[in-house]
Amino acid sequence: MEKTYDEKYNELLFGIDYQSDYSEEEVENAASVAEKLIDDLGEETVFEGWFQFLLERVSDKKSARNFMFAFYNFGGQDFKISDPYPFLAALFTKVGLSIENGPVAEDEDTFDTFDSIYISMLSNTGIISDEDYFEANLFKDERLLRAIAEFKNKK
Amino acid sequence: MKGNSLLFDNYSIAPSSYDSYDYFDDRYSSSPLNGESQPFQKEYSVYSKMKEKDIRSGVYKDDVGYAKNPTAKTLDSLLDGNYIVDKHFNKKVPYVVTTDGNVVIGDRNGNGKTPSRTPTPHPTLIGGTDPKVRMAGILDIRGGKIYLFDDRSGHYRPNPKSMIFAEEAFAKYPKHKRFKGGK
Repeated sequence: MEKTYDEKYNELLFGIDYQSDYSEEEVENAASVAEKLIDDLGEETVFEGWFQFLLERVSDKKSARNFMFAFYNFGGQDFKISDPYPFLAALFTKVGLSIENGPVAEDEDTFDTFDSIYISMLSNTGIISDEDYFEANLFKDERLLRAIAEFKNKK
Repeated sequence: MKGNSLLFDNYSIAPSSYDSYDYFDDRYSSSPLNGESQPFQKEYSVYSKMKEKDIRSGVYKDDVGYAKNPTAKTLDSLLDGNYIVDKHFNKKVPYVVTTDGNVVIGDRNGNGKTPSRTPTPHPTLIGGTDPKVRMAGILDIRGGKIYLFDDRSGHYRPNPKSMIFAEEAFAKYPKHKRFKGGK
């Protein structure tokens, strides 16, 4: 029988406020659960569960940023996802970044973490070649721009 | 993504013979080194073919060499108690271990976080006409602590034996509970 992602884990995994003085023990506990889920279900199933959570349960910028920091801490950026663009577009939009302009000062940490996720996922899937690591520019990535436009149109 | 990608319209595209010079484990497969890293050395200069590419693309200029990455900082300067920056610092960054054993990190597009951002590869962490390093790669920082560092640098192609220099240089910095070591 195919194993499925159980939504009951979402509160534990994504309920931490990373923008506060959070407890490292709490984060470590969540990371342990995430690691076990990945071992049990596989990256693809876990990724789909987390992506659905982002789409359906994350409704404000603060929650989206907490989701992103949790996703990074759990190593989601290292998953091999065949088409990461829909996820990246949803994440970019929900954390409140703009494709027209760079981030304002208080959003730079958010941008940096997003950019790390972006370059890692594109590298992992082979969408960008090895030598493009430094050259890849998300502001000029036509596939990301299209995916963001599509995501905004669906909302 | 190779060839005339819209991603890189501010950057010269390398000839196809240079494909796969940079970065990951299957790197260098079409390089003149035939998939090999550089011979073990205590200090590495930029691999000559990468420097040629950087000259063509304008990343390396005859008068100043590599312009220094404006975001380049020593890891010492970012250390705050038990954290690198603080517990909210989550990113992957290129790093080098300098010839005097310091770690320098900076953004991969260090010239800004706007649409006009430009690449700042490993040599720009030091800058100049012949920036030498003991080691270079990518550093993964999670929650303000070191999660992993590797030896992935197409510009320097450090020999895996040089990982010892990275291990020495990173020894004093705070490690993540799930620290993976040098890869």
